[in-house]
Amino acid sequence: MQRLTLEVEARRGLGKSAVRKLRRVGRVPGVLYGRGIEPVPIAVDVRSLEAVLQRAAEANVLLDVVIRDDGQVRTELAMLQDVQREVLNRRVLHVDLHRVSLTEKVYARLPVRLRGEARGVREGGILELLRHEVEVSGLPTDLPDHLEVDVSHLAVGQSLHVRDLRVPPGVTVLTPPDETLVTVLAPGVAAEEAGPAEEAPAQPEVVGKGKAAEEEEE
Amino acid sequence: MLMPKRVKYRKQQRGRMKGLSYAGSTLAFGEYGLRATSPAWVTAAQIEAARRTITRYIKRGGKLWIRIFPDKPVTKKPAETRMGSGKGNPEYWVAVVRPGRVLFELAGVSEAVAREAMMLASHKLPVRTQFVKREALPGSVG
Repeated sequence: MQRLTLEVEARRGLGKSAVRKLRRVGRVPGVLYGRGIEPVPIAVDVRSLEAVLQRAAEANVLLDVVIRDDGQVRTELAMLQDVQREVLNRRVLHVDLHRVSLTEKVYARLPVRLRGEARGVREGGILELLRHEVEVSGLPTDLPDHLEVDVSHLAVGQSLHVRDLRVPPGVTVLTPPDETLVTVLAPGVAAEEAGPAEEAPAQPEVVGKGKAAEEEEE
Repeated sequence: MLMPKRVKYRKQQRGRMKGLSYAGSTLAFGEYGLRATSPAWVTAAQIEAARRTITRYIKRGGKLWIRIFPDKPVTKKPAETRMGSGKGNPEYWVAVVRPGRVLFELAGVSEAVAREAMMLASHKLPVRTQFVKREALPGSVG
């Protein structure tokens, strides 16, 4: 797992008016919490945060959060918990940092990456990744960037399940082992599923005997 | 075409399309998607036209998800009818789409194919759209 440094400032202003002012000057409001400490409202420069998020999109990252608070500087170890973005322009609105310890287990969601081209895909099938992420627990230093699964031997109609994942020692998978991870669909099946339902009657059935039903009788 | 199987009431009021769509604004199933950036009523016929365009372009190569459903009836009075005498008859079905809503999702095709298929589909729709790719979320810890 990569380790990065993120410089933040403790912020005093709370509420929508204060955070809107912050966003206008290129800073993102956030909060640092976890492991029994009082939550600390923070503000972070949007550029340094985006740089961290770009790295976090590729792999899980461990952050050394340098907090400046009235001239005092302290460092906390944290992981990204949540990022809120605007619906349309995807600008970061708020970030949650979760304080962790190198000696305590954490729960994390790890992305699943596929390796190789499935045999079924070469035969015309469609590879469907059903679970993009799996939940795991382990020490922050033990967690890999992502979990890789080899799909090259999968034929049409075959699937891989969560139990088929190989995880490094010290990491426990929490997602139920029976859940399907990836499957190769036959092309006909996929096309049928994508198709609309059979021709339905022109009008749907009205449920219950109320005004609507009376109207129909008129 | 898509429409509900059963409804509680045959006719609905029109309503307004204020604000953004927070629900259904991220990709849930596929790798690529088409997101609305303006509000509109999307009719069942338009959804079907867009679906056909996508399936035709990807040549049954990938998997498609339709993330909107036309569950709102729109009524119309017959032509050359005087005003009054109550609300018209249900004519067609629409999905109320607000900016931010993911309309379609695709998986199992390359990005170039998905982009072109979505662009062709967007021409069949009454909304402005943008092409979206799956964003990796930071691992949640606890």
